[in-house]
Amino acid sequence: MFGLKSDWSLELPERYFTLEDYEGGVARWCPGCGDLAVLTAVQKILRDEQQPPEKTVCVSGIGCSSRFPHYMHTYGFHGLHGRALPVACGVKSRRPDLDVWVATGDGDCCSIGAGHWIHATRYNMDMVVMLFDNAVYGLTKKQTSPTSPRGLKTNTHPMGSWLPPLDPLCAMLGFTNVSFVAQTVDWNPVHLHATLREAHKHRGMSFVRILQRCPTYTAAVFEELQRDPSRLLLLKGDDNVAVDPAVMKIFPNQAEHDPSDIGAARALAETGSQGEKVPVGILFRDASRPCYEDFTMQGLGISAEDKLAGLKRELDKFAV
Amino acid sequence: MNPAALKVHLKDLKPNGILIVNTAKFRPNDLRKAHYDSNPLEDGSLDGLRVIEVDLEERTREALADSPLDTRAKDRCKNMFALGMLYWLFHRDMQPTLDDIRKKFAKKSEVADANEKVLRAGHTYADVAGIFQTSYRVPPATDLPPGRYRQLMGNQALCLGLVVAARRAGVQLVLGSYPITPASDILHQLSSYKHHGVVTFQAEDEIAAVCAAIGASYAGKLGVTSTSGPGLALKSEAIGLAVMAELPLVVIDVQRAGPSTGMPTKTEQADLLQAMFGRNGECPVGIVAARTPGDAFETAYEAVRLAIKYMVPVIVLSDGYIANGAEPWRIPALDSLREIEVRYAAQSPDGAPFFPYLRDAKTLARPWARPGTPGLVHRIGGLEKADGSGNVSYDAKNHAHMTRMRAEKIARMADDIPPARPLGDISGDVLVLGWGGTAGAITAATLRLRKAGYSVSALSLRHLNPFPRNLGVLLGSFRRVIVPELNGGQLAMLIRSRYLVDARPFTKVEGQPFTSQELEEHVLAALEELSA
Ligand SMILES: Cc1ncc(C[n+]2csc(CCOP(=O)(O)OP(=O)(O)O)c2C)c(N)n1
Repeated sequence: MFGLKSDWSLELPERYFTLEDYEGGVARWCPGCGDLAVLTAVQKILRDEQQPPEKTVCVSGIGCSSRFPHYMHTYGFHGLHGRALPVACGVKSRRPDLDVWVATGDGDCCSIGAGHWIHATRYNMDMVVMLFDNAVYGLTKKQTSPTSPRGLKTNTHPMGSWLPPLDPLCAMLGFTNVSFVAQTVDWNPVHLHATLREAHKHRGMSFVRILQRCPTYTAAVFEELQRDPSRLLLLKGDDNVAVDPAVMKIFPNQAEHDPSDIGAARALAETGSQGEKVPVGILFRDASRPCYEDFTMQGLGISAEDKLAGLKRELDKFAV
Repeated sequence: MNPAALKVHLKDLKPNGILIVNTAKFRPNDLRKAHYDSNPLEDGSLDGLRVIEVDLEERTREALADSPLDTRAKDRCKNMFALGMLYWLFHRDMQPTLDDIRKKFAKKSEVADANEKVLRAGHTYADVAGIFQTSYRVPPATDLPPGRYRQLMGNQALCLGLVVAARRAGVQLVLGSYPITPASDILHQLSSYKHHGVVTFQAEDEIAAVCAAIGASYAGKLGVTSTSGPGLALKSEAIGLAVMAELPLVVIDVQRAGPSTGMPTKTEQADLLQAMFGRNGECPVGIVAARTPGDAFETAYEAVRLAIKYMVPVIVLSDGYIANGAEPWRIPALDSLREIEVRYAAQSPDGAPFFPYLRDAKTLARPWARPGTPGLVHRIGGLEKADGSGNVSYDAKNHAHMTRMRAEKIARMADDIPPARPLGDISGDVLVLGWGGTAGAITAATLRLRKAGYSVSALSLRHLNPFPRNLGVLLGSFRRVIVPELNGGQLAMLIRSRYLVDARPFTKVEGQPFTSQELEEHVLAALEELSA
């Protein structure tokens, strides 16, 4: 932020950004919606890092949570249902200089966009992917989502959903070239903020599943988790999300976890998918996984003259 | 020709045309397989043609009597015998083929020897046996304007047109694509153009391909996506997104016979209405069509120019026939091409707020603001926008206004494209109106009819949305408008509803292009009807 120069004068950056500099339109989510906490956390991270607003692009699909870009005073693209990741990949692959954040819902990412999800993971472009998992379709008013727990009564399954829910963490940890997987909850702003900050620091596609309360349609699903922190398992360790001891005390269950150990990560995700010992923190991180843009930006620094000469050669090929 | 091929292609022959038949393949069994009740060589059904009968198998085996190859391998050389005959018939130099044989079978010298021997044998046979009454010399094309020429296939031409246009505009070309016949070659070729600053993304599917192209356009690059009909169907929602976001996007559809998977390797022009209307909502886009392999170059160039200038998606229609067809193409002087100007939005010096939907007074295009530019942060997407501010808006009047703006942008391109110039006169008895790949057959048929003294003109459209300004007047200046199309009458439908002209469709959906004879006959019949 402010630096002290050798002559003891203050070094004032040309532009200093406050939280307001990242605030877009007034958020129109329901009162008590978990999305609000995520919005605040991201704005804080950008402020802390003094990221110029014009350097950030928020990309989303369609859903309540996908309104996210409108509430950020940055560049934003609110695309199609299920297609947040391909648009974000189009931006990032050609503009590695930009800081890309993706907001996607459990329907958006894990249902209609599931194909893109697998492949975007494999491309591993440097971006943060926030899965707002409220276990239901919110915008379209309470239909079963792939992550809806068994027995959830929805408009499409009035007797209760019966399929076993898809666990996004288990899925991610099975995708080729996965490089960062974390989980957090919207109702613990400290852990949420710290987890997203770790995700932002990671180079590669950082996937964070955010257990996100929907007070309108799935209040009961998260109420219990929120009320009884013993259902959660806080992952800790030198390489994991660091939170204040006061916050750590909230979690009766804690475990040391080394995020470089994918086997251990899969085991944690598997246990968590049963609804007990739901892990929060970084499950997996490998900064050495190849990133798409590293390969595709190679060899593009060609001068205008060389391009023109090359073009003329190409046109002349097989000339008679 | 064997009986099955004869059955399919007989109609392509003009009266008195030359038909070469491989008698070895006209045994009773072969005839039965092709569902012939009697032998067409004997029952008079080939009367009026010059039939040349050759037993290709026998002649080939004869020529290879000393070859070490087994009989099956020998028989495989028989196409070379036929080719040798054709070389004699048309007085062409055999050297390129001889070189090709050596190259292709470089590792199998006995196969190369056999092919060469049979090729030469066919040539000698045609000469010595006196089976043809005449031979032909096709003079080098002299009616082509002077310049440097190269051989160019349709898909190659599209690639070069895109690359040259992007270079002219000074913008990076980003292709997002998913393989599909007959469009894959575009992805292949552009993938090898990294040294031209082109980047390609082989996406996981067509939707990701077009979305990544849109993302690239949003980021300030030129997003392009290439596909065929089934892929265009998958891309339609995203094309609507680009219409709404008002971003440049070029979508190439190399059409094939449909519906559904249809006949992937056969040509058709049945995606015109899909390009025109195949999206939800009022969703107009620019549409241009390539008329010949070489014309595909300028068509692609034009698509880029319009997409950038008007900030809209432009669909380029090509087809399987053009894609794989080749023609001599005159290499254009790069600076003779129309200018393509990219003007990215810049921060106003007085720090005034940025209006992402503030329109250019003439083109109605909105500014293209690249992320990373200070002072221009804005949010766009698929939701309706308030004109000017670009804020999400559900206001009734605004939606009506924006719908009009999106249509008006396309309509105004008509002032920016050349007027339609028919081949022949600008009024008369018949106007043959085509679009895209039928141009060659239409031109040939029209020229022959005009030579015979008929009042026939022809027009092959490149611009399909919008149409050229003078099209309505032209249509009204002919007694009869005939619209030949390889579909069920799609352009005819557009023309009839737009201009209230009694345009008569002439359609064909056989996976094959029109022959100029069938067009000629059809137009002739119409002329007779008119004079009666
Ligand atoms: C192609 C398409 N299909 C369906 C829809 C309708 N739709 C919009 S959002 C949505 C699901 C939203 O659920 P989720 O992704 O979980 O986001 P949430 O609203 O819960 O944040 C659906 C089905 C759409 N907009 N587009």
